Amino acid sequence: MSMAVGGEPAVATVGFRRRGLFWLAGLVAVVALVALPGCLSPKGVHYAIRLLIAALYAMAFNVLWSQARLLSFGQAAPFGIGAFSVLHLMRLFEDAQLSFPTPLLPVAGILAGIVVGVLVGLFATIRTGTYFSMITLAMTELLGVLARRWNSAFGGETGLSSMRMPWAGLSFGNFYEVYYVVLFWCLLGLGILWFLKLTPFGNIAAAVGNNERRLEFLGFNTRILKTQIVTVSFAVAGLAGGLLAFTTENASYELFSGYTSAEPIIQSFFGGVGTFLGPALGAAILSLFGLVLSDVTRIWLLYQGILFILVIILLPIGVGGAIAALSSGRVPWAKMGPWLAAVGCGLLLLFAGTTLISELAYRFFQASNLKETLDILGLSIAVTSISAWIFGIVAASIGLIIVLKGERRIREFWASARQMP
Amino acid sequence: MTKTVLQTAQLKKAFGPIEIIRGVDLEVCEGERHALIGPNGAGKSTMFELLSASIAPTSGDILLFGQSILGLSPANVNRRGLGRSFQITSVFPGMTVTENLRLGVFARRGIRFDAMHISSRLSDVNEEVEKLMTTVRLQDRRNTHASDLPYSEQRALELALTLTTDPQLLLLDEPTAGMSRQEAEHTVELIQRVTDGRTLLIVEHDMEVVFTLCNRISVLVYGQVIATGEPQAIRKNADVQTAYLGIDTQ
Repeated sequence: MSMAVGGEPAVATVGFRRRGLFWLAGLVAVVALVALPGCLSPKGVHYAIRLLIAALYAMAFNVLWSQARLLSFGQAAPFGIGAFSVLHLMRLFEDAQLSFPTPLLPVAGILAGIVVGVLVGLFATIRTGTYFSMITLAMTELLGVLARRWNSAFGGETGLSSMRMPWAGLSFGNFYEVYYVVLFWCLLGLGILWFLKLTPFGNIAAAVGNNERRLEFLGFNTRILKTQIVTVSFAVAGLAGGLLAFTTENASYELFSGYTSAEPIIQSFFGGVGTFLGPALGAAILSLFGLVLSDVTRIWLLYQGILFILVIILLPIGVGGAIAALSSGRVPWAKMGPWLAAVGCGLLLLFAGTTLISELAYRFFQASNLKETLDILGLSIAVTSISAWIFGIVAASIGLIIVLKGERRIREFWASARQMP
Repeated sequence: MTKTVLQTAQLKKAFGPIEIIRGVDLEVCEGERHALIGPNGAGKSTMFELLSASIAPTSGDILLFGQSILGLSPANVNRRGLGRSFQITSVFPGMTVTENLRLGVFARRGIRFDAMHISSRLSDVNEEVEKLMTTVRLQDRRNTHASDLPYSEQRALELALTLTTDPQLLLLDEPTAGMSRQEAEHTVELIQRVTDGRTLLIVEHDMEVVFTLCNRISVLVYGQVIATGEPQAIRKNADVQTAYLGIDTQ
């Protein structure tokens, strides 16, 4: 046992305990994920599949950002190509009536992601920073335009469809079976990404983001390194796209849209790019938020945007970062608690007021007659009700004032916990 | 016969119409501890950037171990045996001391895309890292992030990082810049100890450091080497006294 440094045994014990807790938490999470479909309706299982895919997709983005500080605006490229690759493979076996291990179909997404990663990586890494982002964006746009026009490969406006074929006694006709295939690939993807962090390649990748110039002066070809990092990220994004196609049995050129590229970025920062599972957590929360809210209101994207802005302002380390800070025990809870409670109340007021105003405004400007009402929490509110508008504005204003007052103090507390980026 | 490690031939560098390096002929021999001194704006830092292939010269040539390095990347030049440190500390701030040094050892051992092994279990690498940490006396800081180290220890880490690739020629850019007298003395002792047997080219403003560390000095003024020689000879050189030390010998 090498404990040459004074005080190391105590540190080692704490480290061992933390590692033990970490593995226990991981095991519990895996068991919970395996057992999850038993507690869910088919619709719930479908939601769970979407959350898993979103989590994997966000993790793919985070390989680029958290390790190498490469901000890719082109994640849609491997995601879309991955999806179409899997779909083409499905169609191939469907048309030829050949048997293929259905759970292995997503491998096509990985391979397609690797090819796109090498191509985009070689070009995009010629430049760094904003220019890298712009090149990835441009290449994805190019691919999007190509997909719109190349009907035989991308299916035009309707896209491409296929069916999962039965294999080894399993029909793959319901979401329960699909869930386990997706779960397997997601866990495998996360496991590989976690392992990569611990390897020399992972260390060197992290050094690219830390100090690329110094790395070059140690004899590393940073352009090749960055291409490798892009390839790893795109391979995982391709897998995520492949899993989506595998689930929905459909893909269209919409997959190459700017929103598909922006989604993992938003979700990763929401969840916290400084922690390994933060992006997956962010993706799960925001995807669930979107899936649930899109059934309730048509302006759910507005709420998602507001939520994102609030988290970035109040919790720049993201939800995952906050959880990590809490578990580190370095957060001064006694001092921070009242401020958090106050800001929480402020947020509730702000959210209630904003929701009321947004929903009233949406109906007011969309309505064919001004007698339309907003039915919420058992109340029926007329869109022309002055008191409702005033209530919304006052509540949002008071909430905003409280949040702004408390925001600075909370940031100071986070900073004192040495967790701020 | 002493082998020439580094040589420049009529090296020139201009940024637009302004010529910063104006035909420098510099020769650094094996085992030499060579200082490049000069007043602010003399072009010392530009020389370092040129010698380490950070920037390309406008004309002239740079020979490292007898071979031109023009057109090579800094990574290639490093692999040919030239290591450099920076004036502004350049380590990997978000990584621990161990992780910093491990990177250099990976580089020297040619470990690039190794995604099959866990770094902390590579015993050969770890042994080398331990040795380096002990050499620069950072073994008690192994798990400290580089950004949390005091300035002098960051400089020590930078020096150790430069040594990880086992360069035959070391370029040190103002290694004692911003240090107190005591810290500077400690760093000089450290440099003497860890660079033993290596060729050294150093840029330094502190004359005491230069005269303690080096056995040969070149004086750069307005992009030209006006004198090269042993420290005592440089001290007495009339041109140097006038142009650099500000002493009017007339």
